[in-house]
Amino acid sequence: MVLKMVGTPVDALPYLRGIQAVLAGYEGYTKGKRRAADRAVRDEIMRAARRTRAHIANIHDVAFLKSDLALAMVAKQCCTSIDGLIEEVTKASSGLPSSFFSSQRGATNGDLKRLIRHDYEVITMVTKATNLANAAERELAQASEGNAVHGLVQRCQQMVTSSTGLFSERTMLFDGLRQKKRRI
Amino acid sequence: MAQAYKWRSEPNIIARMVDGNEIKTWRSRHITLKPNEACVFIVDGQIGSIFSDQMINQIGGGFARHVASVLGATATDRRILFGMTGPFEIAIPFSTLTQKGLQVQGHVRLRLKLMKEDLPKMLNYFANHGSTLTRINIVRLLQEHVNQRLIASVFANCDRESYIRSEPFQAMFSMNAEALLRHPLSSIGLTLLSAYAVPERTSSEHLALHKVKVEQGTEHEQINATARQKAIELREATALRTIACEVEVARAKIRGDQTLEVEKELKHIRALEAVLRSEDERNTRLIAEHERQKARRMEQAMAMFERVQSAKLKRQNTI
Repeated sequence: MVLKMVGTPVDALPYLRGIQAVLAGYEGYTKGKRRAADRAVRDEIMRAARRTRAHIANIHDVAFLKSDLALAMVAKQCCTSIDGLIEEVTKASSGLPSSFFSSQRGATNGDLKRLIRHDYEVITMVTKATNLANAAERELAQASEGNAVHGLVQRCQQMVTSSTGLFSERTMLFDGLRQKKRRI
Repeated sequence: MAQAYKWRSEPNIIARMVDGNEIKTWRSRHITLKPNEACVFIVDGQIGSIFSDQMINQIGGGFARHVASVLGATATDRRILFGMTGPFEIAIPFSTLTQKGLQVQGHVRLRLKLMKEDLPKMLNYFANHGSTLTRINIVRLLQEHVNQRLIASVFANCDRESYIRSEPFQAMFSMNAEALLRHPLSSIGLTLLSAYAVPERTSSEHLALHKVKVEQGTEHEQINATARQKAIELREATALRTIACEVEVARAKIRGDQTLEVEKELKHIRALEAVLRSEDERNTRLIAEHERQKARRMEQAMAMFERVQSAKLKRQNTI
């Protein structure tokens, strides 16, 4: 799979394997499958975000029914952040298909490595957010102290916000492919 | 030449179930799904993949399917479910009573979203309703649930009217909506993003508003009267000052005229004085000249006398 790439980015292999651990069909940005890879990554991020949202929504409902309004409000804010992340990922730029006559420059091995590494980092971060949301719901189910759940939900929100910020770096990576370097 | 297929004719349409046989044609038809559009194929009752953000060629099957359908070698039931995945808002009207019997009217704003993965859940709606889901359909679907489960319970807990306009009320309303509407919405594939109540003015608020308006009107009139009074006072002061100035000017003018007359008289006197002085000087000079001529004649006479005397003395000496 990796051999199909323009050049073998050996140093991107650990990240590639990392992504493949959660996204079986991911092959890196091999030629002819770049859009599919982009969509797969985005779908995975959205899937993780939806899982996180489901956990946080459960926490919200339970907190509200227990009249723990502070926790319910934190959970609601976290849900809003997750909705923002989903919206960001859904409507994110995926670059334009380059053509011979366009002014775009082709993706180099360096660009692809950066993209693979970025995908890995974002997916890892969103997965951490999901784990935090899961842990928060588990804590709530075990009737732990409200502060512990509160803290976990806030950490989850922070992780989601960071993921949103990190994901937006992807646009910058694509922006780098938009113009050819001028020959002096 | 391929024809573009449009599944959405107006912005109110959120989802639509299309019978594949309706768009079956021997000509190729394609559709471009934007990032906020998704579609899923349901072929012979089986839900297929969900597509979004891409162009689908041969949505109706094209010539190959036309031939296959003639030969009976293709699916008999082929439906395509389209949906808008972007967030959208609906407004559900309500009319309810508070704990103290105050009637409150208004509407609930719900911000909803259809997630791409939830699109097949829309089948739950289309199983019992028409083939097009619009915002109005969603409002009709949720109106009773929202009014009975959400609005009635939230407003029944309102013990004072001012609470309706407070932030805790909206937060409580939002949380109630989250808890009560999630599952009904989820069953038709919708996700609730936010909810808030927009109550219209209550009767006591209208009364308070009227009171404030009347008070403001009175204050307005008072301010106007004060301003008019000040303007009158200012005009009066200006008029008085103008009159005083005119009097002063007249007086000054009179004083100026008198001064001019005196000055004129003085000038005349000074001229007369100058004439008299010059006449006096002339007389003095004439007297002085007369005296000088007299003295000169006296000197001449004395000199002649002395000459006569000396001649006489000389003659006597000679004799």
